[in-house]
Amino acid sequence: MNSCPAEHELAALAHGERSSAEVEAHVRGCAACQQHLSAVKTALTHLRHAASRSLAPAPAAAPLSLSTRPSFVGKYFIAGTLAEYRDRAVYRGAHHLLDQQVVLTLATRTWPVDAATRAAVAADSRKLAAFRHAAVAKVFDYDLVDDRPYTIEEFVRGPGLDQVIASRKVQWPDAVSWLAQISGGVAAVRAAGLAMPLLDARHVRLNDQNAPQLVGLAEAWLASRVLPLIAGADPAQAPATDAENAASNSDATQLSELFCQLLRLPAGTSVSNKSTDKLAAELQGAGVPRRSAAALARTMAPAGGTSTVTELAEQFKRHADGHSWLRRLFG
Amino acid sequence: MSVTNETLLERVRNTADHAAWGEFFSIYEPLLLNYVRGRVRDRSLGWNDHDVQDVVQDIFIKLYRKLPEFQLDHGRGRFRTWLYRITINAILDRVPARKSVGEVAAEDLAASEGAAAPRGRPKVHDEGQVDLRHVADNAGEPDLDWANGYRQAVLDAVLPQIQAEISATNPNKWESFARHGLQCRPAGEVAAELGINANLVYQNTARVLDMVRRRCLENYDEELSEA
Repeated sequence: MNSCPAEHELAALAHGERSSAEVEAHVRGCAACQQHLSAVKTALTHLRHAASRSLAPAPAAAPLSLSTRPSFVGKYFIAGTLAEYRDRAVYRGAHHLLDQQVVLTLATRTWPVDAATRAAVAADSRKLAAFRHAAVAKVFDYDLVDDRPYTIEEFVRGPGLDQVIASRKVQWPDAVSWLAQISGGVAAVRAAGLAMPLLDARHVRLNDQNAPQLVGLAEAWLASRVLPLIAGADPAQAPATDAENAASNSDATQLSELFCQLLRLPAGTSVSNKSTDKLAAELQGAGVPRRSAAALARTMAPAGGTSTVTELAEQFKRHADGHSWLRRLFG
Repeated sequence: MSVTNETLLERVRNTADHAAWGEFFSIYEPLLLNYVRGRVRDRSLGWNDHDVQDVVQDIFIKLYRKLPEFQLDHGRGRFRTWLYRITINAILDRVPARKSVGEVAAEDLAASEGAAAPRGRPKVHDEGQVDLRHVADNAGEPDLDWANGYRQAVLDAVLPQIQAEISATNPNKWESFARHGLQCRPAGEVAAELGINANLVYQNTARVLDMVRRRCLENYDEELSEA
């Protein structure tokens, strides 16, 4: 045999079977054929390993999979899922013309409502898109794709305060500074009459400049203003939205709770149920100077009623500025 | 799974080809999730699954922005190597956010890739360059976990495609390959079951194997005969 055998003639040898005497003799004396045979054996080994998984019957009930997530919504590329609810999905995405990454919230149902209602919602969405505050992630867009409404919000790259709390101890000047900024943003959102996301650690992210930004404004708006209008939705069955949860607690109370979480104060009793003295003592225990602790406690857990978010923002800002001033003065 | 003359890596360069991106995700997302999970677990970075998914999302956004400029050219570098470097850099990019638990581990991670890790923001190299020749001297080749994971991801896509294509037109051809090539049963036995001669079993096995190899290389830049 002068020429090398074809691959199918090597197949028997690759499987440990006997081939013709002529082929076997050729392979014994041909380095190229031995290399070829080795490559066939390697490929078959990889294939056998893969086949046990790839060709196995699919499970009867597949879990929620990638196939349920679109790779694009309109012109937005979808890179992954951030959260899923029964009535909406929240995705992280990008647009080929924008440097900024986005958070896209898409309704899971279509919305066959009349043009007038759509126009009214679109007008409301313009108020949302026009809103700007340094401590609140920007909302860029509201639209429909295949009759499903969606919103586009700035993606704030950076850890959520929940991740910060889990990974390190936050110093009180940072905590009071962050809460001053977020409280200001919350007050502005309320003043603009917009829907509020749940004011918890997950909804505040630290951006590249280490500044806090409230996220989820667009999702809260979609969930509270648009999704209830979608035909076929059963309000009694619908899960409570973040905005509805938020309404059950005052903004000031939620922000005070967040401040306590940042300082890792003892958990168990809500801020509003604590006495001012007890809260002040806990704040001092977390490193807050005595006078600041007493003043903050009086605002966070007032003896005779509830503080407003504006009052809370002013108080946080005063102590954040005071600390900055002292630090500048004494180095 | 769609099969056209244009390969998947060429199709995803067109950002309007939504179907191609769907296929791209179905192949590469499981690979990236598994690999990133393994890397951060081995190095005790203290990340949870949310962090892992964040990194994989970072990778896909980079791919979305960079793939339109990507030229598949085996002389210049492999897609799987390029994807590997994007993956490692995406892991390292997130480390500053976890500095308290991860800085040392990140330096270890970067060092294992053959590059010194500057404090604060370690990085293996700039994966913005598609030409891989300039990084070949700076960093090692993909590790074994990556090579195995990449091959598995590609075969998970290719084997069912080819099974469906061949079974539709020539069931005996696929069965020859499956029973003899994959299940290692003697060719004579398979031939008797299928009512064909043993030589045809060998030929069918070789043809399907060749088809799989070509599909892996042309569509996914995977060389199946590599150890």
